[in-house]
Amino acid sequence: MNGTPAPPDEAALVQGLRAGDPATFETLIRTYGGRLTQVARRILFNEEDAREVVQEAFISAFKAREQFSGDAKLSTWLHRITVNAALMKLRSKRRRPEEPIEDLVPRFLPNGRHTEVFRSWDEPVDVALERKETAQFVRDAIDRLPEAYRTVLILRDLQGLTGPETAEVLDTTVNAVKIRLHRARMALRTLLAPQMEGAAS
Amino acid sequence: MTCREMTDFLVDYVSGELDPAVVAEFEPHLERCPNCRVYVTQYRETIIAARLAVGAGAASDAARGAADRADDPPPMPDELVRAILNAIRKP
Repeated sequence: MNGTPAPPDEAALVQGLRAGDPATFETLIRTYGGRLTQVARRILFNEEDAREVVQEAFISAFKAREQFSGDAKLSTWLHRITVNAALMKLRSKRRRPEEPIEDLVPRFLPNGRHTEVFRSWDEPVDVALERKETAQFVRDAIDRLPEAYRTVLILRDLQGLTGPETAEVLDTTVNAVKIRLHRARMALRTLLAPQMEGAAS
Repeated sequence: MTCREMTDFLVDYVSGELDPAVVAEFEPHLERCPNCRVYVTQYRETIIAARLAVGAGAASDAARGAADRADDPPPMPDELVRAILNAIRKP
């Protein structure tokens, strides 16, 4: 994954993991723990929950070590366990019903044109995002996306996983990931527009 | 190419994976359609805004080949590592 140093030797780690070697497991935790906590934090928007989930995920991984076949990369396998645990926690805390994605994506006329006329965002986003309120607004908007779309946006655009990696983590197809990512981005744009249109005034 | 088709192709366009023959139809549409020009810009800016908002750095999709140093996560705190190792030692 982006930024993660390559672990010493994937094959040796897999062997140590399956043998239940504590030293290997410690290496795994230290190599991947930071990145996994980051994913969990971005899904849950809560530091304490993120740490709890990552702990649970590593414990699950240890318990399931003999089932790890080595077909997938260790990183992908650990991401999958962590993302699933984070989503379960998110669902247990689900505060409000999800807005349907259909309500958030653009619509088209029979002739193929947009129904909406889009108003420019005059201020460059990097300038707008220097303001705390705007950054919080964007985070809140991400949080409003329906879960399946939000998760793909986080994994692809925020964590930098590739399409194939994301498909493996979520146990779905590359094409499904691509469609979800696209709709997530379009929905997020819709949610950001009211804030970004008024920004420079 | 209609606005609808353009919008459908956006995900591949932004990642640089769009068939060159289709890209060749994109540009003329953008030249004549200010609405789509605005939309494509905002689609890209949405990705950048999301990354900045969570502290993932500003690297755009196309530029993400190089690791975005702003996004390197802090290492796991020792007490968390130990807590996990203790938990797995239990019978």
